[in-house]
Amino acid sequence: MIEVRNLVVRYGNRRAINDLTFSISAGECLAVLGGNGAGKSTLLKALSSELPVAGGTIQLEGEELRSWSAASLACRRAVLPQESALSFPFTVGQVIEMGCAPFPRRRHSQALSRATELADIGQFLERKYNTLSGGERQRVQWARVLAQILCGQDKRLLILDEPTSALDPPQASRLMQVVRDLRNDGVAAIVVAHDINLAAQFADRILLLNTGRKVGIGTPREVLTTKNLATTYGMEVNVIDHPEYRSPLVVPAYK
Amino acid sequence: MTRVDSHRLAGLAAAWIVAFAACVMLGALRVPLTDVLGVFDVEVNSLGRAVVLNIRLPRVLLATLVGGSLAVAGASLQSVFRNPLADPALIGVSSGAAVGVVGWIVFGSAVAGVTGATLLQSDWFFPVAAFGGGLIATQIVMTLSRQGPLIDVPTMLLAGIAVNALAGALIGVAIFASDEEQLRTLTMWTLGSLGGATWHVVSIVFLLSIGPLAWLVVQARKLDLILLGEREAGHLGVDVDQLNRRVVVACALLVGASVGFTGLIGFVGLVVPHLLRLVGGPHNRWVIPGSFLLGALTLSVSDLVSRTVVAPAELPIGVVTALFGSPFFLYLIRRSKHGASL
Repeated sequence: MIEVRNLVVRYGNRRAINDLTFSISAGECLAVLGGNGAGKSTLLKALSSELPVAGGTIQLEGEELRSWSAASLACRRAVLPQESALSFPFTVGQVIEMGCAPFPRRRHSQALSRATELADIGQFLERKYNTLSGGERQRVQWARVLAQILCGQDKRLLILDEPTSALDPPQASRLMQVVRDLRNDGVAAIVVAHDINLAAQFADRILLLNTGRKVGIGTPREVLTTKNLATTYGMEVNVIDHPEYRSPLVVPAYK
Repeated sequence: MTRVDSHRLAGLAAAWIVAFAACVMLGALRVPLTDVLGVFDVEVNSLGRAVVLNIRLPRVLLATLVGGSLAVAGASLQSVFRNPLADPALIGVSSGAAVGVVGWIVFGSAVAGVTGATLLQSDWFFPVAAFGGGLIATQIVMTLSRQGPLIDVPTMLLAGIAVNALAGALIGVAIFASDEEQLRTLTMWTLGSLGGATWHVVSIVFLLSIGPLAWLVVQARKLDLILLGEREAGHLGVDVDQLNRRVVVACALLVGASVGFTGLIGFVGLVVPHLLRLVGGPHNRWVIPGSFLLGALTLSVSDLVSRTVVAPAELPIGVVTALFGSPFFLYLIRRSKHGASL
C-alpha cells in the first residue's frame, strides 16, 4: 500500500532520516520504535506530507505521495498527531464529527457511532473539549481520526504518533486492539510507539530506528533482539517470552 | 447547520428587522411607521418621506453592510489565526486601510490635481485606497510569518504589531504634512461616521462586500476544520495555505470597503463573534452568518445612539462602539482569567 525507497528527510541541516527503505501492505500494522531523536516523528511527518522529502520516494498505491490531491488523500489517509491544541470551546461530539468532513453526509452517522463506541467516549459527547483531561483529549482525537477512517471505503492508511502517551494501560491496550481489528477492514497502520512491549504484542512488524537509519525491520521476534535493542537504546536488556501471548517481552537488565 | 442554529439565526434576523425599522423612524425628526411604509409612494410629498428616503434608509443600509462586514471579517480572521482575540485591527488590515485613506486625503489631491473637497466626492477612491493599504499591510505580515508551507501564528501576531506601529508613524507623517482642511477631514474620518451615507455610497459598499461575504459564509465548514489545527485541517482535505490567503484577501476587501467610507470603527469585529460563541457555540456555520446579522444590528443601533443622544449634533460612531465595546472586552479578559474559555 505504501512504499518508501531510499528516503532522506532533512530537519534543518541534519539528515533526520537517512536512506530508509520499507513498505507496508494493506491490512498490516507496523510499529516504529527508537530512542529519542531516532527520527520516528520525522518519518511520520514525511509520510503525512508535513515535511518535504529531500531524497528517495514515498509511493501510496503506486503513485508518488505528492501527486495526490489533499482531498483524495483525506479519503485514504488519517493522521493522529501527538498533541492538538483547540482554543475554541467545541463539544466532543462536534470535534469527532469534523473527522467525517471529507465524506458525503450519508456516511457520517454510522461512522460516528462506531468511532464513539470503539474509542469509548460515549459518556462525554456533550462536554466541552477544553474541559477534558489530557488522556480524555487524546481519546477524543483518536475518535475523530477513527471516524475519518471508518467513513472511507477504499484501502486506507492510519498514521498514529504516540497514540497512547497519555492513556492508562487498559485504554492503551484497548486502542492498540482497535488498530489491530481494523486490519479486517483493509486498514494499514503505522504507529510510533514508546512502549516496546505494547508494540511487540499488537504489531505485525516492527521498524527499529537509530539516528535516522534502519536497525531492523521484521516480526517482533526477529527485530527485538538484545543486540538490536542495545544498538538502539544503548542499554542492556533481556528478551523473554511473554507468559500469556506469543510475543517477546523486553525487560531492562539492571546490573 | 442544526435546527437550533436556524432558529437562532431567524431570531437574529427578526431582531435586525425591528432595529432597522426603529433606526429609520427615530432621530432628530420622528417619522411615524405609516410614513416609513409609504416611502416608495411617489404621490406622497412630505418632509418625513424625504428624510427617510434620502438620509435614513441609505444610512441604516450602510450601517448594516459595514457592521455585518466588520463582524464577518473578525469571525473569519479569528478562525484563520485560531485565536479568539484576532481582529481586523490586530493583523494590520485596518491600520493598513487607514494609511491608504489618510494618504489619499493628504497626498491624493496633489496627485489628482484637485482640491480636498472634490476628493471627498470621488467615492470609489476611498474603498480602493483602503483595500490597497489593507492588502499591502496584510501581505507584509503574511510574508514575514510564513514558515515553510504553513503560517506561524505567533510570528504573524508580532508582525501585526510592527505593521500597526509603522502605520501609526505613516499616519503621523501624513497629519504633519496636511493643511487645515485636510486635518479636519482626517480627524472626522478617524473617529468614524456613517454621516456620509448616500445611495451611491451604499451601492459601492454593497458591490464590494457582497462577494466576499457570500464566499466566507460558504467557507464556514472549512474554517471550523482550521480551528481544529492547521495540520489537522490539511489531513482532512483542506488546502490550508490557499484558504488562509483567500480569507485574508476577502477580509481586506470587506474592511477596505467599510473603513474607506466610515472611518475606523473598532470592537464590532471582536465583540460580535464572541457574543455569538457564548450563546450558540464556536462552529462557524452559526458564527459567520450570525456575525453578519448581529454586526448589522449592533452598528445600526450604535448609529442610532450616536445621532440621537446629543441631537441635533452627532457623536462619532467609533466613539460609541468603543464606549460599549471596550468594557465588554475587559469583561471577557476578566472572565478568561477565571478559567472560562474566551
